[in-house]
Amino acid sequence: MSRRSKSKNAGKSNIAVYSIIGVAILAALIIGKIILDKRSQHFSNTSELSIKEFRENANSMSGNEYRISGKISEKLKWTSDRGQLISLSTEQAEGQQGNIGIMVPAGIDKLNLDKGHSYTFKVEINREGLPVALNVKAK
Amino acid sequence: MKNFKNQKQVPLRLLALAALPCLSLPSMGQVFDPTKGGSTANPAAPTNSGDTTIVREKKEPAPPVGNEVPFIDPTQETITLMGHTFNLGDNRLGGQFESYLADTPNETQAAKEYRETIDAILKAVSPHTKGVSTSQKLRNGYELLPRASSYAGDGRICDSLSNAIFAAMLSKGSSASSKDFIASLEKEASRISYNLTILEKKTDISGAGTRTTTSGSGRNRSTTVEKAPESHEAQVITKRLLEIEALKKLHQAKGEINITQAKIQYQALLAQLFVQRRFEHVVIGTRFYNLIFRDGDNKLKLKKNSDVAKFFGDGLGVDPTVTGLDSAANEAMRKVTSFVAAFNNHLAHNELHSASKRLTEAFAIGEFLPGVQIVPAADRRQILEYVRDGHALVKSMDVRDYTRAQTLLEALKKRSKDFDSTKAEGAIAAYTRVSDGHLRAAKIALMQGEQEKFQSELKNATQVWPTNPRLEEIDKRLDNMIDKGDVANGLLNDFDRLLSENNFREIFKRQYEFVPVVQDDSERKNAVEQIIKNIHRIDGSIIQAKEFSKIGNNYAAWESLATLRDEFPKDPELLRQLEKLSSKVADFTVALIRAKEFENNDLNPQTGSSLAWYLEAKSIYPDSKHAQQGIDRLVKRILPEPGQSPVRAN
Repeated sequence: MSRRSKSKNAGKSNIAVYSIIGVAILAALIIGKIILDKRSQHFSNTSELSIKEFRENANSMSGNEYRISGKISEKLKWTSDRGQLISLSTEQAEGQQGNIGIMVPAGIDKLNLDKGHSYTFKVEINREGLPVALNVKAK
Repeated sequence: MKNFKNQKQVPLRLLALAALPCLSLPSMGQVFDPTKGGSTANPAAPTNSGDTTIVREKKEPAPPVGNEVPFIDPTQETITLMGHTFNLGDNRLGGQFESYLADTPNETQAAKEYRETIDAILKAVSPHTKGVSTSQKLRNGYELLPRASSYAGDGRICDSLSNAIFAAMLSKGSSASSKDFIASLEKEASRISYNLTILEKKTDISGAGTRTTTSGSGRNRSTTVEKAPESHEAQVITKRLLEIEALKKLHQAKGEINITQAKIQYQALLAQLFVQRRFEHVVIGTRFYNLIFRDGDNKLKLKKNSDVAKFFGDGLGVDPTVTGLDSAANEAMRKVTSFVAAFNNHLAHNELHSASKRLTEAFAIGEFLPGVQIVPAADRRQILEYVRDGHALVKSMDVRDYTRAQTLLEALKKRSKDFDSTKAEGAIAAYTRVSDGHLRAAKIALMQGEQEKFQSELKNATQVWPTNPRLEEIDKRLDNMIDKGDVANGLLNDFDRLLSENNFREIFKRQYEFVPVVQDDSERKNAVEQIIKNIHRIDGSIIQAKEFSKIGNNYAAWESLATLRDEFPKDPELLRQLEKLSSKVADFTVALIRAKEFENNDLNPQTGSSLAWYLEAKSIYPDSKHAQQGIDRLVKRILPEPGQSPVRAN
């Protein structure tokens, strides 16, 4: 009877150890993923532009720089010397989504901005609340 | 002499009766002349003055209009008698003639006997009756006169004739007595004259009757034998002779005066009978005259230059005679017979117009002659109805009732084969056309608001044809205008009130009331037209929106109405429809509203937020014109075309 009792206690100890090890591995993976994601995001040193706040009062963001990613839904206007105005369709956390217009000045668009493609823009909100692209990277 | 003086009145009566206008149809000289416009309103004075006039001069030709009924023209209706022409245009016979036409022929036993008696008298005193002495003829005829006089239709004329004959006979008898007396006087004068001669001879033989006287001496001596003074007896005889001579002369003169007086009285009666158109009695009288006065003196003792003398003597250049009177009476009777025969002939051929004229002429001349009196009642009735219709036609034309005139004209044409309707039809057509023309001009003037011209034209139309049925149309129209006048003022007030309240929907609803009353007011008219046009647009859009909603495209429905809302922000129906859709397109409308708010904030332009909302709206309804237009405006603001200033929203 005592032999059987010892064997049961040893099994229980192993399962607990294995579980702890598994959880630790999983946590390490998640943390790693997060860290890796953060490292892979462009302009990660700037905060993301909140669509909700932008719609409510863009002028309050004037002079600030933000990052915003999304798909170009429409090119509203293009000029050779002054740049172009695009419509960016974006989806953000917490279910926020929407379209905003971004002014892409000439000289910024060193890469092709194609409709339907995703890009990340670093923008500065001008005094009329219009995001003006400072930089752009394909996503 | 008294009778002769009475004859001064005879001419007028004679002419009046002889010329009594059988034409019972009045004249037609006062019909409106359309060529004179309003001046024709006064009808001409009626021509039936009642005087019968001998037509001695040709009258002025009748005017082209006014004598439309052919048998009405009195200037053309005449009869000729004794070489004289008489006008039948006097209406005084009209009533008598119509009475005659309405009467039944006099064919009683008494009338037949009367006619037989008259014939018997004529035969008894006829110069062609052989084998009967003059005195017997006189007696035979004279005895029949009382029998003829007993008939009422004779009017006691035969009695008058009897009296005249009796008086003439008495005068004649008195004259014969005078002659006998004169003869006895002459015989007495002869006898005493002889006695005187014997007495003178006796005195001469005895010498008692002479005395010789010697005077002077020598060569100068002379002797004178003086008749001794007559004896008293001789003086008496001589005086008696003188008396007898004076008596003789006196009686001779008296006899001649009696005869002349008797003739004058008798001739006056004959003339009077002639005037009365008692031609049979005239013939009887003249035959008696010739039997009574056989001295060959037939000359009528008429006052010189009197109308009667002129009637019987004018034109012939000889003094009128009893024989002439007889001849005239016979001619009159012959004419009547001829007219009646013609009447029967025309009637047989259904020529009522000519038949009526012939019967009228026969009646005018010989009303009392048997030929006229025995015309059958059925024939008279036909003429009576024809004449009555003729009267009615004339009166209708006279009062310018051309509708009734046309009806009567057609009836007369149908009734009589020889009725000439040309003039009447022409006149009716002319006057009705003129009246209609004036009415048309009046309507045009009414439409153009020319009141004076309208009144003038209406007056002319009424004068030409007072009973023109189209006048009622004008009356109704005017009544409507008067009624509408009050209504129109009320409608205009309503319109102004609704307009000030911007209640365009109500104006639109009552457009069929307002449109007619604002025709003359350009400002109101433009307002009504604009309201109607715009509400048609709104309603069209609402219908379109409902169609969009049916297929589930509420955004399109809303947007189609929202486009109009900016233009008509107070139209209740539009707002109601938009409100109904708002709940279904709330996200879209919120996006547009926010976008618009940011866009229009000039003090603090929020171009970025505005563009984000427009883009949001467009993402909800990609075909949104509102969203696209907002985006376009903002694009132009952000990136204006070279040389252009940034576009700002309103």
